[in-house]
Amino acid sequence: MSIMEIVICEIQQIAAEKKGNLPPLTDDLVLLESGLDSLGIAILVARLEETLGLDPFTESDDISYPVTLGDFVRFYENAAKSRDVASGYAR
Amino acid sequence: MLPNRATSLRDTLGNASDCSGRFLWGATASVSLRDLLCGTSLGGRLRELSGRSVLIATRDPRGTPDLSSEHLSAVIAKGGVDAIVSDWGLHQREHCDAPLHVRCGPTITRAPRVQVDPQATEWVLLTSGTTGAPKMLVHNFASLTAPIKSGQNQETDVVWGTFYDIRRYGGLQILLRAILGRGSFVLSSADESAGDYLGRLGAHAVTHISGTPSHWRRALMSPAVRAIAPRYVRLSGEIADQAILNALRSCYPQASIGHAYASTEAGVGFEVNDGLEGFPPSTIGARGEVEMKIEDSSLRIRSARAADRHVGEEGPAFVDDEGFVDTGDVVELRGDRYLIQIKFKQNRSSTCFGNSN
Repeated sequence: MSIMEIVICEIQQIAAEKKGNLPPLTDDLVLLESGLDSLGIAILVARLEETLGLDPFTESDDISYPVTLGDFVRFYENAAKSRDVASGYAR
Repeated sequence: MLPNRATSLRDTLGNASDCSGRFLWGATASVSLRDLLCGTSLGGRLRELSGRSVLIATRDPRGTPDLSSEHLSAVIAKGGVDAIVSDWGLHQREHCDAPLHVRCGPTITRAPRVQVDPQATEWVLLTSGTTGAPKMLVHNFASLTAPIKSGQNQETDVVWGTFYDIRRYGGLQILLRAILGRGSFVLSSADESAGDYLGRLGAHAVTHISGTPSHWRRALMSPAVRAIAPRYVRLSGEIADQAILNALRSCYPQASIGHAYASTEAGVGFEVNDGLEGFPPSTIGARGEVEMKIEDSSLRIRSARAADRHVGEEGPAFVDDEGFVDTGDVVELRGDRYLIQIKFKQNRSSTCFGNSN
């Protein structure tokens, strides 16, 4: 699965657990308006750390925080690229 | 800044002319400090509260931080509450009555200033306990205001805001900074989103704002994050890592960005304003208003900012023989900084009610 697919799958899972309705998960959807409250977003970040082994909110050098779902996915994609580059150099 | 022997907020406000143009702005209502000094929302019954242990209980759909309804009667009993001030009928609930109930109205009505004999006040702050029942920590006015330095915030155009609930220690500190300084204050509401609060902060031209790193991460994910252009950004209550400090520096390049370590027991320990996570080793062992040491890797703090005791105890059970509060937070020296190792520590600061004696 791509990072985008994993992110969307996790959002849908959390919304289902909270019995919340989700708007269409489009690229320009503002994440804080996605129906996930702050706890939901914290859970999302924690689960993505488990799934992807990444927590760009604490590890990334990217100083622009994601506002939309598209930003959020790219935030993780960039962090994954940086990790891959770093591990490549390490080898 | 504080008048000599000031023992209450009212003492520090001086006269009405000093408060001209200063406001507390809420999500649905606002009040000027001048009106607060010259009026009453208690139907003129302030004098009746003198000398009592007062529970202040506001209507709050989400409840009071760290106080579930099942523990309310126990808190009332343990705190020796003999008066309740509320804007709803708390006293009508079973086991929640007190000899005196004073209704707090929604508006301020003009009234002569009540002369109440100066007396020391104690403020009971609730923090989440490990067993579910809240811990009840006693602060006094001096310990709560000790971190607020004389001469600080003397600019007249300061507008404070905080993502904290002001019933928590971190939020109360900011409210006190606004009131004891010469500023105004924009209160956050449990019912509004980060974006809505940022919009209100922007409308009131906030200059100084605080929150936990979690609050700030949420703010930075809001399209409204650019609605404000603060001069000072403060983080506390959780570990501020380099990523969040960098993100805030990038978002608010004009602002001074600082992070503070505080707990309800220890008070405000240190404040760091160099933009780097952690704190410098020079602060450990240094003599001064706040003294810090590390024992068994745990940060210990001694200062006049600490809580006095738990309710019902003669002395503080949370300090060692030398008067240091063991924060329980593990610190580790990495390079030239001490870093606190507990990630996303739960915010242990909260305020529910106050004013006794």
